[in-house]
Amino acid sequence: MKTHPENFKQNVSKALDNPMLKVAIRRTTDNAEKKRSEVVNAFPDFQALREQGTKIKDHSIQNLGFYLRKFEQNAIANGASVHWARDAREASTIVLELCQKANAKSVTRSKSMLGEEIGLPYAMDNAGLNRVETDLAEHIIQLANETPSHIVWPALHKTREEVIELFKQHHEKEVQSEEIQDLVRSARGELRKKFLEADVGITGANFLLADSGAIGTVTNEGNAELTASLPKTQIVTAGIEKIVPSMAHAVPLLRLLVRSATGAEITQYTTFHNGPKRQDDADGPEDYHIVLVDNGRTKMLLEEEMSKMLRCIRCGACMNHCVVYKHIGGHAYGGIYPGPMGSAITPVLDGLDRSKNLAHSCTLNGRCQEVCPVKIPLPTLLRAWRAKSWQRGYETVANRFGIKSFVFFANKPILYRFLSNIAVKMMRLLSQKGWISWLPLAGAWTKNRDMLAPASSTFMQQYKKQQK
Amino acid sequence: MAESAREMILNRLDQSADIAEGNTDEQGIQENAQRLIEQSIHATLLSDNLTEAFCQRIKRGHVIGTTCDVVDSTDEIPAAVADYLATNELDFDIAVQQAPIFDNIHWGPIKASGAELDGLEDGLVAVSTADFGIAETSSVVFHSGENNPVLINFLSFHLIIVIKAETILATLDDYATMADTDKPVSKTVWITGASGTADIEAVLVQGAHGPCQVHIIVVN
Repeated sequence: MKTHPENFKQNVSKALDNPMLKVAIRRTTDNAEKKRSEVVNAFPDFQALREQGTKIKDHSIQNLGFYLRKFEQNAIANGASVHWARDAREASTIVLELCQKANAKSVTRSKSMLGEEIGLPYAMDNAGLNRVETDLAEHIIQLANETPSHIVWPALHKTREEVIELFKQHHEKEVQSEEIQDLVRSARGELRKKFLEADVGITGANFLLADSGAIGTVTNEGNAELTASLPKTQIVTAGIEKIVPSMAHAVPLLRLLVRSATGAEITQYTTFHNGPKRQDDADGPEDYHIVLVDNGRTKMLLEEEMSKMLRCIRCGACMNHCVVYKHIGGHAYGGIYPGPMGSAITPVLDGLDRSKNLAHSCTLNGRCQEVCPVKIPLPTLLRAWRAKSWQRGYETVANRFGIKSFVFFANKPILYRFLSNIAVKMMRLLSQKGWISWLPLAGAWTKNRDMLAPASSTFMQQYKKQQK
Repeated sequence: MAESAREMILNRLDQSADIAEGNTDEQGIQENAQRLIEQSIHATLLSDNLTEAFCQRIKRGHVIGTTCDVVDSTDEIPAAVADYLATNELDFDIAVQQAPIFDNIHWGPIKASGAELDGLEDGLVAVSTADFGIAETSSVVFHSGENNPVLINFLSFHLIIVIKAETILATLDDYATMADTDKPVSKTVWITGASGTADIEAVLVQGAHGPCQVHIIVVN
């Protein structure tokens, strides 16, 4: 099951028709919101940390070419093979070829949004590889044949009841009870065997360290380490924007990432992988590859505003705090990345013509920008997409007419005030207990929500009254 | 000949670097990078004594599924291990990492075997030793090596980690700035608590893939 950004409106209607979805989404996002605010308030100077993290990302991105060359040189010196991919297709082809060379039958993957971005799950299934998703959430959505609906908790849209059904259907051993702890145990048992059988393990990377050639992964489950240490071959897929000068530069970003994502101070496992096992090492992969992926990133870099999106460390705080995401969930967006950051990136990956509605769905309340650990001006980026969509003529006739009419009236203050006066009165007539549940010409808007009734007089009327 | 992906990506990046302001030579870039990490902005340590700071966070429940114990010498390790096993009603059966710190230890009533991969199933208790501790987060740092299998920390249900008090550093920055970039190990693992997941209905469950409980013994 895959949704598409051009069907945004239908996707939204479908999401809003499912009352359990919102309950499921809010369980996780409200919890994340609360925990983030606690850990941020407990931190001595979180704003200073944000400032430091933002500067580190900006510096790394500004010198991306320099640091990538250094990273490549050091990684090769430590025994890695480094591959470069222009786009999603090239990246997944490289990974598939490496799997073929390793004679792989079974391949473990630890959660990586870049892997999703380059279509790796799909490519692997098509190539007949036995793909084993090892992150619990990814395991759940693999069984359900779905895509992630959140970048940190890909299966947050699933209720326990749905997970029970899936595990009963697909797990070899019977699930002990319907308690969540026993569901996790069942997955542990099921996946442990598969970890041991895997020929290749594929991880993503949260950091690429230029000065040592290491890549960093963060997980709470420990699945990245099992994915990377058990099979003979390890493949790392990473977006080129993950580069930082050194481990010391990754540390402030790690502090920001974990606090912003889950409200914890650090993840249980933070691992720096640097090449294949050394001659005397007790364990580790014999063959080690890194695939560096562009897929639109160099293009984003050349555009003043969008280049700020390359700061993104994929914490998911913007979606946890987004009023729109909390109502419709991740699948409605139809892109790989949902929520505010997804609405900004999807037009780059899928084209603005297909995804113009995403920017329009934003309320511009600015919450995402407030909580973004690297200060990405998401509302500004989304406004820029709206402007581009208008300039390129992607807007519907109705939208164009609406905006043009607004411009017409807004340029004639007397007429505008006269009409808004009438509108306010009409809206008050339609309201009940301060809320309007149906408005002419705005039926689509009021279908799934109520509008707050306007005050008894307009702003201008009140202003004039005070001037007297 | 068609441009390779590597050339194409790097050419584009060079193009944008030329446009970017403050584009400097290698030394300039490195100086700029250094300036960014001059200040360590970290959580407040709970004590000036690093062992105390390390243990306090654990005792206050800030580290998922983790307990700790401080002993005065390596001779006291078996008693501390036995204590943990008894408290958790576990069999006196452990798999121990081959490391100098465990060389002259008499395990007494505890049956200690080497850390064989196959043996490290859920039932057994693994005992490993880490290279460093970090007070800021109560993390331990594990370097892969000849007698340091990474997997010893991931396969069993209970994990006991022994660290020396003198290896405890104050902050993550302290570890990162001293990490060896000339001859790096293949895996550097920072462990902070038990393996966990909140993937189903945001309910935290310990023991997702790795240990369900971690016990840290700090040797003074």
